[in-house]
Amino acid sequence: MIVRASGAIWRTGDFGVVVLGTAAHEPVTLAGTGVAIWDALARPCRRVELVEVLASHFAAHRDEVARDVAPVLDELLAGGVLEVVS
Amino acid sequence: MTVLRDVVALTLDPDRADVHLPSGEQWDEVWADARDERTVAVFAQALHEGRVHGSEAQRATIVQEHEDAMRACLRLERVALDLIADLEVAGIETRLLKGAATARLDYGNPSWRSFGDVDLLVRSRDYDAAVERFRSDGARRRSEEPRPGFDRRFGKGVCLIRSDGVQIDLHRTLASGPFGLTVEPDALFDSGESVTIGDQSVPALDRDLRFLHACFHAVLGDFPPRLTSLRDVAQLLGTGRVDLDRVRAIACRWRAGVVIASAVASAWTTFALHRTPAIDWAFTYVPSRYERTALAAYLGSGRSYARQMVAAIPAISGLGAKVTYASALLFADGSYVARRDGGYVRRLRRAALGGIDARVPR
Repeated sequence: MIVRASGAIWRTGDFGVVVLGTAAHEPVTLAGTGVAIWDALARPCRRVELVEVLASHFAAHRDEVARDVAPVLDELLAGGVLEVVS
Repeated sequence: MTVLRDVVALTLDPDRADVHLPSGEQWDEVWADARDERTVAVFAQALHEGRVHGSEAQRATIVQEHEDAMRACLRLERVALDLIADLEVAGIETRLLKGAATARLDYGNPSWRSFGDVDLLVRSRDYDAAVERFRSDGARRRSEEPRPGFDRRFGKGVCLIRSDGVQIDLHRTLASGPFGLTVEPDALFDSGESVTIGDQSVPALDRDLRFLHACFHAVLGDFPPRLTSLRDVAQLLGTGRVDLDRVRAIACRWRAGVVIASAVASAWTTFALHRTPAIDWAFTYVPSRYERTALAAYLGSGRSYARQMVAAIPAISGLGAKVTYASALLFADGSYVARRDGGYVRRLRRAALGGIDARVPR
């Protein structure tokens, strides 16, 4: 399951969310779908469940959402914005 | 400044009328002031809450600069965590001060309180070691001390600039000059409150001491006080969780009741906030002669570092310490003199004219 990294620090605003991950030197800005991902991952969530949530939220097809979200999740995991928990 | 004050005030008072932003050059001035006063996050809060109204371009400017400010805050928080951990390894106890602490502890959402540097407090006995630790990591002092050991004994602290440009304000007390010398620095470590940043908890001052420090900063920092400093005073007091009796008792012990009274009265006057009996105390406070003289060194056109240094002499206990203090200022190291005063000749002339009087210690 994936969740917000416990060591990540963030701020919110009308711009979205800026997060400094544990493995990054620079914060990343999450906007639009990124904010929806961030909100959904306040609690641990399986990838498939996350895709369901986003597909429902944006009224989009699950396969399309899954394809779009995968590289974003990988990038956020690599930067320590998100982390994998059992 | 009126628009700026109104925007800050409406984040403190839910009954305040919404603000309609001016356009054209007036807006340019308002926004320039907002940046100078470090109130970009306040505008962002008011905008987010639908309390300020303006054009799409104004909204975009506020949102963009708020994002930039928040990115900067996150970088500073990371630096603060690293510095505190490093000092802890060396056995040096710290307290995270000012914006980085108060944003998370005293505001409902830390996104509405930005800050531009890292402020840390260490004990006087650890002060030199902490400075050296930061310097060995590449940080440089923004100003030299008059004589080695002066800051540890008499100073407020030092500003260090890291190689990445981050400014660290290392404190050993809460102010320079007379009011800094009557603070009991070790007492600042008798209590504390944890601030959680990510998955780490770092020590900060307890709430009452944070309020005291906010008052010190508002009144003794910049003149005139910055709106963001006065906002902290009002914000902290507005939580209803500051123990004013305890604050006043501590301030009395520190001969600094006038600082608290002045900060509260300034905040309430500046933002035209509703006065309660607890607040009225600040408006009727009668300072002692010492407090009046000491406060004058921080205010108005006569405000100067040298004046604060001179005004500090009565606050120093013991003849020997007074002599040490005055001698350090009169016969300061060349690099300090060059930065502060422009040279020995000018310094001695000022001393001769009564600025720094070697006969003062008695």
